[in-house]
Amino acid sequence: MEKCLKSIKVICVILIVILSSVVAFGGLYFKDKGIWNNVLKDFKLGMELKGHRELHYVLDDSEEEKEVYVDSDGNYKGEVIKEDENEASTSETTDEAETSNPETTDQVETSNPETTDQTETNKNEENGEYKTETRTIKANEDANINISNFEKCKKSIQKRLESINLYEYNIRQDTVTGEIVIELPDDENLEIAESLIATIGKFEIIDSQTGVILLDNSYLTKATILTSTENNQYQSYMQLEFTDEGKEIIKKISKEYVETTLDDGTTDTKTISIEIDGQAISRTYFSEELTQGILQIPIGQATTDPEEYTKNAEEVSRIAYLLNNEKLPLTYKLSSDNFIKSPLIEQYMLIVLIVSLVVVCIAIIYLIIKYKLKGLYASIINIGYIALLTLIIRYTNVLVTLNSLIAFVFAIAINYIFTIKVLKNLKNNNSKRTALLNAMKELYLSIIPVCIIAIVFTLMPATVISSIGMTLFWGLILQAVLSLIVLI
Amino acid sequence: MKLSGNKKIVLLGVILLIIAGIVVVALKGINVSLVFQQHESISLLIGKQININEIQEICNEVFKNKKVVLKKVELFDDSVSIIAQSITDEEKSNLIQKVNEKYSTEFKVEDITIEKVSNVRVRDMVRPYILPIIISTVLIIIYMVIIFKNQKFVKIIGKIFGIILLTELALASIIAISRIPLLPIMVNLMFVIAIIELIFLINKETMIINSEKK
Repeated sequence: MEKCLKSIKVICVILIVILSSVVAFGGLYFKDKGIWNNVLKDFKLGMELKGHRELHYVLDDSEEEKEVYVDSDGNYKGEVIKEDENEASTSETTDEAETSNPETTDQVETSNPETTDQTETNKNEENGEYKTETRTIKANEDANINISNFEKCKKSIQKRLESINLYEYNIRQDTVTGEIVIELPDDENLEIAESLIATIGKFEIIDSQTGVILLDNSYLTKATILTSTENNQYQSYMQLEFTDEGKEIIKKISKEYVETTLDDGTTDTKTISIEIDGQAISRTYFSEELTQGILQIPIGQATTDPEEYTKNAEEVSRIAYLLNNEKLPLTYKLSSDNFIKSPLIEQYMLIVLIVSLVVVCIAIIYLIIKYKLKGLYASIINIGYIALLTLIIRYTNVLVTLNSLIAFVFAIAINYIFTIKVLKNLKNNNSKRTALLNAMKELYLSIIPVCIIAIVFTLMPATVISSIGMTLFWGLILQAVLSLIVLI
Repeated sequence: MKLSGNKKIVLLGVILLIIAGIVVVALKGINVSLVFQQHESISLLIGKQININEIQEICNEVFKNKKVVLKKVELFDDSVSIIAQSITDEEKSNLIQKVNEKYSTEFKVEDITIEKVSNVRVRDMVRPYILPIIISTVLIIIYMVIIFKNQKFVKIIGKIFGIILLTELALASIIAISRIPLLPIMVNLMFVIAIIELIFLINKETMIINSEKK
């Protein structure tokens, strides 16, 4: 009876191994609308194997003549909004503000590195305390184009990419021209990464009516994300905190940019525009004075959809990250974006597969010759181990890189060494239980450093690192589980 | 620490190898793989499906002994990027002529630009690995202190890490001297060798201690 049960167990194990191997190496096909589809999840390939996007960024050399505000020292204070532009934009807001000649706020000391050569001065036109003049506005001021700023830009871009846990990238910078080439994985994070690279992080609060800059990054101390839930709706807010001087300015702005009812019953609304890199993220006015100097800006629409809210919140958190960190000293523009195919799969995959197959065959033959039937049984379990590990890697989103492949081979090697230890113990006339337990004890005590590395690497935020750890981690877990199954 | 005659010779050999490696690196630098080095590239949108081996043959004729890397651009297999450490105008002209002959294209020399691509800094490549390696090393040292606590653990740990360090330096020297292009995967292979060595040395020390106890 016991022998019969043993035979059934062996047959079951062999069948499971064959099944998992067929699924893992061949795929799992189902017919859908007359077409056979492999429903097995694809491996998540790293950019060395899948290919990458190569983004070339060059310094923006654009320049434009604009009418701008300048203070008595000649500092840039904003772009003059033409009457027709203002009317067009105010008509989009909720309360149309008839502000043909509004007052500007108290003097705000702002500086903008992008203002450049003064070409023509028209000092007769004045707006509040600022004069207006026509200037050539360059995207990058000549004085800012230097190696120190090139390096700053590169470091900022690296920090920004790593802030979204994107560590799988290569960055090259030409120290003469400042050109940057970034190789990024072609995945769902690409769009976010591109926006993080291209955004300067210039924050401004602007008088919507005139275009005068009321406040900029230099007054900002902290940007955080907040969420409000009202009527089961989620709304993301960005909370901005300012320096003492900034708080005073915000206080004044909140008193001035309000909706007022005129004698004839109509309303007059003065609004501010909150802009990042010249793009308005909000246009608003104040209903009460902000005494704390803290500004909360709603971003996106209130929603009941958790997915939409998460997307919004991520966007706000990225903006907050940009505002909390130094803005890019230079403006870059994308000059080319190409997908570069990985030569590894096409040129070397077949060779790697053949070599791997040969190595596996040699390892199996060795086991069979040395340990006969037990060796064959152990070989089948080893193949099952490889098959199951590939399935686990598919479904646990482990990034397959060349480095994680080394970890994969390492895990297989550990399992093979374990098998040999068990077979040796069995050969020494130990019972199966004793042979397995002794081998497990011996193996796990000696691979504690590997376990430490597997856990530490798995916990790292960088996917290129965690994938190495995760491959080792799952390899060790699977090895332990299979040993326990065989033991039972 | 007393060393036997053979061990002394091995140690001397390893030290000489490391010195030679340092000299090579100081004089010639590390031979980083071409794609990570500063290089020049020419991109050709051929417009019909290309065979990379055919392009390789053309490149072999044009660039002679220069190391060339080919990369397919975009998904349609009709565009290629040819990478070499440097590309002269003559090589560019020859390349375009041969490609035009082979694929009946009408590229003009003046329309094709040689693009200069900067290097990827080695320190940028290894940066993500530094923190996990430091944490793992500290934890492994703590583990070793625990298992060798009744012994002269400082001496044992020093010996184990000393051997690993020497082996890694010797391997790095071999790579530097033989001018094998350095790829990130090689750093990982060296890391794997260090782990295997660590496991082996811990086991060896444990066995020695156990046999001494008996």
